[in-house]
Amino acid sequence: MWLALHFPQLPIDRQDRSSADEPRAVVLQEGPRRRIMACNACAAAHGVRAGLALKNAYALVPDLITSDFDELAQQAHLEQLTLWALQYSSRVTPEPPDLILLEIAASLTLFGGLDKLLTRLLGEAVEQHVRVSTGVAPTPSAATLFARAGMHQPITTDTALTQTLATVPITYLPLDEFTLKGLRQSGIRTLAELYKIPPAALTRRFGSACTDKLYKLDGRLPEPKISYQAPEHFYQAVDLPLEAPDTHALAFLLNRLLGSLGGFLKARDLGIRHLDIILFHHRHTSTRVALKFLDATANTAHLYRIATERLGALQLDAPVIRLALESTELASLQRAGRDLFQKSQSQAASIEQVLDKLVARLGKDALYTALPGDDHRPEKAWMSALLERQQAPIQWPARPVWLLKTPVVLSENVQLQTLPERIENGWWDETDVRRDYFIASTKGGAYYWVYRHRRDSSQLWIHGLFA
Amino acid sequence: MDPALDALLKSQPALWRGRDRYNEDASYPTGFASLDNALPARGWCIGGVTELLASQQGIGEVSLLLPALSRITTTHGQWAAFINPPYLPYAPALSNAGIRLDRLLIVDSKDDANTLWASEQLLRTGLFASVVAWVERSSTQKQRRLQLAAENGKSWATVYRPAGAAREHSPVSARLQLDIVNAQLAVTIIKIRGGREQRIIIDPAEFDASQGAEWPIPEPLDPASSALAFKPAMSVNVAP
Repeated sequence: MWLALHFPQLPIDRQDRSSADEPRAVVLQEGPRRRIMACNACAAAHGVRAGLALKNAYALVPDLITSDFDELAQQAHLEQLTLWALQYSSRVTPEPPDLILLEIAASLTLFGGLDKLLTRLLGEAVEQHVRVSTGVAPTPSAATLFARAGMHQPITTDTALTQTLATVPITYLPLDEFTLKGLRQSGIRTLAELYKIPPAALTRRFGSACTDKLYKLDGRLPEPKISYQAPEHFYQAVDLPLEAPDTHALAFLLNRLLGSLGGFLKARDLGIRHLDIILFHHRHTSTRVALKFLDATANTAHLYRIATERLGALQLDAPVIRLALESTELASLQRAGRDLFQKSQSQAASIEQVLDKLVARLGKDALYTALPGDDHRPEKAWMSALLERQQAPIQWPARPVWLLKTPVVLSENVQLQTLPERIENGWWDETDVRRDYFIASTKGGAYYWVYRHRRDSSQLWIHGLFA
Repeated sequence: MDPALDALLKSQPALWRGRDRYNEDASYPTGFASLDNALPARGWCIGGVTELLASQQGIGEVSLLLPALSRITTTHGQWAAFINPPYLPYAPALSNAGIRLDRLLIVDSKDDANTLWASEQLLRTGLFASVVAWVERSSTQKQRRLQLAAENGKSWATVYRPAGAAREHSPVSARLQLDIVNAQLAVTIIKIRGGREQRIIIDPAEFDASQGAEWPIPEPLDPASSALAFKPAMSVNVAP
C-alpha cells in the first residue's frame, strides 16, 4: 500500500512565517512567461492562485511581494522531508519537485494502524509548518493522483480503487496538454470512459504514454520504484529566510533539520554521539557548536532540548544566514531489552539524559568520578574518570576527604598527631616525590594532612583536609 | 523519651504532637547513634534539604555524611553527586569509607548559579539518592527551589553554606551548625522539622569507626615531646 505526500505550498512554506499578513507569492519562469507557483493565504484571499500569469496577479494585488523559485532550495527541502519520512517506512521515494511516496504496508502494524500513522505524520508536518496533502492507494500512481487531486479518503482495496478511479476526471491524469485536449475533444470526461477503450486502440490514438499511465493507476501494469538510500553521513543545511541576529530565531529550522536527522538515524538504525551545529555568517567564519553525548541517542526531542540549551548560551559575533547539521560520530544504539513480564523498566528520565543535560551546560570536563589510582603518590592516587568501571577496592591508611590540587605552605601553628608516613616514589617520571606525611591538628580543631620534603624539612605543606 | 510514655501518648487520639508528622518520614541512618536519636526522622531526611553550616574546614564536616553515602552507593547501588566541592574529593579516603566511587558523580560547576542549577536538575529527576552541594551565596528563594526539587525527586539533599548563613532565613527541612567544642565535633540543630534545637557531640570513637580506616595515632603522645609540635618557619628535627 502506498502513501503519497504532496507538498503543494513548499516554496512558500519555506519563507518567513512572521509576515503571513502580507500577500506573498513565488514566481516560476517558464520560457518567456512568468507564472505564480505558490502563494500564501493572504494572497489567495485576493484571488491569486497557482498557475496565474504574474501580470494578472499584479492586477489583482498591486502590492504582491514576489520571489523567484529556487530550485536548489526546493530539492534540498524535499530531501530533508524524504529523510524525515524515513521514520515511517524504509521504502521512501522522492518524486521531485513536490511529492514523496512511501510504501506503508509494512509500517501499519508498528504504528498501530493507518489512522494512527496518518495522525502522527500530519501532526509532525504541522510542527514543521509544511502543508501536506495525502493520498493512500494500492498503487503508487493512484496514491500520487489522489494526493494531487486532494482526495484524502484512503483507498485500501482493489475494488474500491477501481470504483474511485472510474469517477476521476481526466484532467487529473499526468498527461501533456496536447493529449488532454485530444481526449476532451473525443468527448472523454472521466477515467471510466477511458477504461472502456481497448488498450491497443488507446495506444494508437494517444500514444503509449497515455496507456501506460492509465494501466499503472489500477495496477494492471507494474510500477517499480527505487527507494531512497540514506547516505553514510548526515549533512543537511538550510538557508534562513531572514538574517537571524540571535539564536532564538533558529529554533524552528533546527527542529526541521532534527526531524530529518531522526528519520536518517531510524533508517540507518544508529544513534548519534557527536553532532555539529554549524552557523554560517555573512563574511565571517562560521560558528561550529559541538554536541557530544555519552551514549548514542536517536531521541530528537532530547537532541532538541540539548541543542537549544547550548545555542541559548551562545554569543553570536554576526547574524546567522544559514544553519547546518552534521553528524560527526555515529554509533549503534544501546537498547534495553524489554522484559516479557515487566511492562516497562524505563524511568521518566535516564541517568544519561540527565548527565547529557549537565554536560551541555557545564562542559564535558565538569563531570567526573574519582578513582583510586594504583600509585601511592597522592597526586597519582587520584584520577578523574568519567563513569568507568570501578577497580578492586584497595584499603588505604587514613586519608583526607579533600585533597588540594597544589599543596600550599602551612602558616599556622599545628600539633603533629602521627608519626611520619613516608611516601617515596616516582623517580621514573617527572614528579619525583620524597615526603613525610603527618596528620596535624590546629588550635581550632581542624585536621590537616601535611607533609615536608625529605631534603628540605623546614617547611610544612598542606596537602589535604580531613573534612 | 521513655517508650512506654511514648506509646501512651500515641494511644490518645485526641492528642496531636508536632513531631508525629515527621516521625515516619523516610530517612537514611546517619551512622552516628547520637545524631540519629536527635533527628526526628532517625536519620537524614529523604525528600528535603539539610543545610550544614560549618565554622571552618577540616573539622570532619564531610565525614559526617560518609556512612550514609556508603550505604546509598554500595549497599543500595544508587547514585550520589558532589556538586562544586571546594577541593578534590580524594578517592582513597572515599574508598576507605566504603563509597562506591563509580556511583559518586562529581560536578565541577564553578559558580553558585551553575551549582544551584545542576543540583536542582539532579534532585528533580529522582535518579540521585543524594546530592551534596557547596554554595557560597544563596537566597531564601533559591533554597526553597532546592527544597521543592528534593521533595519532588524524593532525594536527600545536603547543602554546605558558610557559617554566616545561619542568620538568614531558609525554608529547608533541617539546618545544622558544625563547630569544634573541646576538640570534638559538635552538631547544633538550629532548625528541624518536627524536632527541637539541641546540640549533639559526636563521639570521636564512633567517628573514627565510620571512616573505615584506622586513625593512625600512635601511643599517647608525651606532651613534653615538643618536637612534634610544629611552628612554621622553624627547623624541626624529628626522627622517623
